[in-house]
Amino acid sequence: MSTTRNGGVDPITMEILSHRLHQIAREMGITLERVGGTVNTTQQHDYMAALYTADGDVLSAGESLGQHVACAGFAVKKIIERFEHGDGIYPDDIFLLNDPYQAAIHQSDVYVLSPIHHEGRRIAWSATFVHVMDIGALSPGGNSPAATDICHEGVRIPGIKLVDRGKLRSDVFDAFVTMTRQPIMVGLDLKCEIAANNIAKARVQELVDQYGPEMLEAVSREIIRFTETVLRERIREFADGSWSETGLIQGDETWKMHVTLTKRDDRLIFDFTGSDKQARTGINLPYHATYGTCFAAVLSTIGFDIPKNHGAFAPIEVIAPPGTVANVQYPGPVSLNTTSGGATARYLAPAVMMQMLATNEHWRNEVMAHDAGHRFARHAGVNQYGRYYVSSLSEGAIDGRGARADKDGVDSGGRGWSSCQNVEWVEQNFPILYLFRRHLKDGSGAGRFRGGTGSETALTVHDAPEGQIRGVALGVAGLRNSGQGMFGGLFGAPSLLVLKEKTNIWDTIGEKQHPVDVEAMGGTSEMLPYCDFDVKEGSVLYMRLANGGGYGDPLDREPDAVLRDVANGLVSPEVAHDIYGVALTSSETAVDAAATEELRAAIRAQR
Amino acid sequence: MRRPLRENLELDDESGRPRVLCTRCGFDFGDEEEWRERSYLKRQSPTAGGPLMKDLEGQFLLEQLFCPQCKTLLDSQIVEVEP
Repeated sequence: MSTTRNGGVDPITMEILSHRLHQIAREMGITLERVGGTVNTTQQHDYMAALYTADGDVLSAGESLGQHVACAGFAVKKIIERFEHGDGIYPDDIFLLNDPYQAAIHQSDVYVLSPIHHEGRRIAWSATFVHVMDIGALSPGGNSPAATDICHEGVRIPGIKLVDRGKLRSDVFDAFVTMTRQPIMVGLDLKCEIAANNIAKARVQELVDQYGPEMLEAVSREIIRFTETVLRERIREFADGSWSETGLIQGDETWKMHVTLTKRDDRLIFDFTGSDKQARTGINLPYHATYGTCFAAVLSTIGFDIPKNHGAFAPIEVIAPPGTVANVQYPGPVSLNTTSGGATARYLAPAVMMQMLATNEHWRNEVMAHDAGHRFARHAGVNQYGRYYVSSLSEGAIDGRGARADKDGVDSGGRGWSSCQNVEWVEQNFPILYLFRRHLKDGSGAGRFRGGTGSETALTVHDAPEGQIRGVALGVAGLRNSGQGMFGGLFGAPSLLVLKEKTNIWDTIGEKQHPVDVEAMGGTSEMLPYCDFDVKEGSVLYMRLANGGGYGDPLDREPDAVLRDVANGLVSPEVAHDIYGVALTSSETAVDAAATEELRAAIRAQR
Repeated sequence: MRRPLRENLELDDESGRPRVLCTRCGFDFGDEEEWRERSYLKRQSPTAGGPLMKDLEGQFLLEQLFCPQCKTLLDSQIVEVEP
């Protein structure tokens, strides 16, 4: 085989093997979905699958979540550190780690890691995580609002051998799952991870049997070098500068997370100095999670078309002062973090990247408003079949996405990697009745390009043997969540979680009417912070998800686009008039161009 | 040479000292550190951003920056009401 370029690898073989490694990581993910049986894995896709070099550097991330890809790499290195010169790392071993003070983000995200050997020599690693259905914490599902330190948040393993040279350690397996409320489901979670890692091992060994271990090493070095080289070249395209952004999480207190991005030559420095001290509730992020967020932000903004691997680490530096919400120290709690502190960091890092992108003629068209998080809930109880269950609602997958520099945000576009459980599946498996799930009129942030419209849902308890289910309120709490606008674009409507009790919905249903008006349901209303709560019969849980922020001045939006929004029920005629300055004909079926011009001039004059 | 700073603003360093200019009307905001202070600032109820923002009333305000000359909207933020 000709080897004259690309570090000794011919370009055709380079492309083929780079894509093959990508496909192996993809197949790992597909295996997780097909072997797993829990809603988190099969429907919400809250998982990751990736390949790593023999030393634990990210090699190929497939289509997995960037944050976890980085953290799993740290997990591999921790396993090497713990076992290499101790109990040993042997062919067909598989390890488990979920300690947030080692490499995990919170305990529910259980990493399973497998060395891959060829003729006795370690040549690579595979790693997966799934968000297991329970982890034995204070609250069912793992996210525990009442937890004030890490020891309240369930099983925590700094690294343990789960499979020893091909033999499942049933003592470890049984001990782990028994410490949870859902041993069968958590056992299924672990088994699907073992299966995915076994697939990775088989596929990588097939590759090495065909091309040899030296070729794998050469390709690995080269694709990592390629990513680093391309990223540094792209970073150099921007002028040096600094950009800042702040996010808020409001619970019993308000916590601020702040970041300043500095670009110097071919380096990006994310500095979280100015963030608040760590909280006594589980919103805190460990450093590696903050790092992983920045890694993901860089790749998703200026590296979306290049392989996701260790090459992206070199140009990035992340500073996060210890003892802050961005770098929690022991024994700070973390169980709520992925959807609170983590969601905020996942907003901040891209937000400052977008400010940088806007300063470059070529990259400014890639700018997108990012959402700052939403509320959602997990639930548990006895279902209509008499079985105890723990699950989660996945409406976060139908958030509206931020507007782009040249087009609207995607309506109910969600996170990209996750999907929302369908209503029929939820009602079939749990004692829940959905009253509605629909787009939220006037939810999107106005702008020259409109933010994507998010969703709102309402559900109640039905046919529950205990007459209720238990909920856990999660997400980014506070009214400054949801989509933040860019360059004048307005905010998306805040994401809310509201519990209404003693409503009249069953009277309405008895009258053969469909309860669709939240105000008309009567009863009491409580906006839920981070808490455990009960949904009793006659109560309604209302969820308003995130709405995308707008881009640019709403007065610059094409009037016909506003007309379409009104016709589609996404924008009211009142908002069309007052915010977009678009005057419609009396039938609201066409734009009155002259009146629109006059109206917009009047609005501008009143600014 | 001129290059974009953000939507509706550009940086002009042809004279040797970078100036921030409005791309609509050419208003000179001064240098990069001071363009926000030179903008026209308006604070109003968050419902000016939409009827569903009523939940923010009392706690937050909609703060917007405009070009003082042509009133082009440059920035929108939700800020806490000062105690």
